Amino acid sequence: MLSNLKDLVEYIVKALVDEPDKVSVNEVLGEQAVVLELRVSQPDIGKVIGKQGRIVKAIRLLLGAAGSKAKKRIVLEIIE
Amino acid sequence: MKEIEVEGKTVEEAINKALSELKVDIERVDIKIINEGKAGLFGLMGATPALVKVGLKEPAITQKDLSARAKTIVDTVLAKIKVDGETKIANEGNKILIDINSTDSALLIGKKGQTLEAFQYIVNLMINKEIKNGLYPGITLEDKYKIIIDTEGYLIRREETLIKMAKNLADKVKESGKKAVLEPMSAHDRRSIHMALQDTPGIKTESEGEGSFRRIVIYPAES
Repeated sequence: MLSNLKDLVEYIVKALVDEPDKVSVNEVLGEQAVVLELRVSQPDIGKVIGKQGRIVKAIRLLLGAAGSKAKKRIVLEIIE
Repeated sequence: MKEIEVEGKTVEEAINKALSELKVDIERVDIKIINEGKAGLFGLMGATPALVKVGLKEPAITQKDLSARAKTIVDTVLAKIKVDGETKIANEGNKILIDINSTDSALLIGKKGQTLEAFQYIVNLMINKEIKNGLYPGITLEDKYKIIIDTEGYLIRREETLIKMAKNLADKVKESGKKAVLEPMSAHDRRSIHMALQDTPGIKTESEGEGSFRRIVIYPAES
């Protein structure tokens, strides 16, 4: 049921970066939390984080809304 | 569609005349050659001028497409976060308003509207990236399209509440002669308050602080 959140992150991030083929999201399911590990190409990292982390913060907020519906905590990590 | 007929000695000359009259590049027009023209004997006798019809092309992508695309993005995100909602578009100049009708509107709004704001921010980023990538010929970032996402009239209610609160505070400042510091707000919210209070006598408003800490301070006006 939560795999659509992995899709959500891919959908948004691929639309923001210059190298969408290099975007991948790995989902790690825990009991109360779901960790989404996001990988993008090195030059695209800034495009995902944004100034003062504004972009990643916005994605996390959307994930938070989805998580509260699914009663899970969603953690988004950007892996370098 | 704007269309003009232009004559020239040759087809090329006629087209160039038309382009300078319409003030556009050749890619932006459709050209129909009505008469190729003929050079007459000895240059003049029996010459027929070339005649072309030149019309401006409709922009390939219009604001309607951009709105439809924004709606698709919003619908897709809603489906992925499993929120049932019906979206409606309204265009107002270069603003595209997408209203989400949903029983989960509280969830979409989030604390102090921050989830809704985040959603709006992401959709604008995605659309702007597409504009930048040239997916909408005829539309550039300079056109400053802005997608506004609302749900169940939240944005309007919020602005009303905000202004009411600011007016109450302004009254207190006037009475007490002491400044009032508001909590940090987005540029949009600060603007609403500055505008609402700009003609209120006895006080003045300033924005202070940096970045996400920027907040309004209402001062008693010096007399």
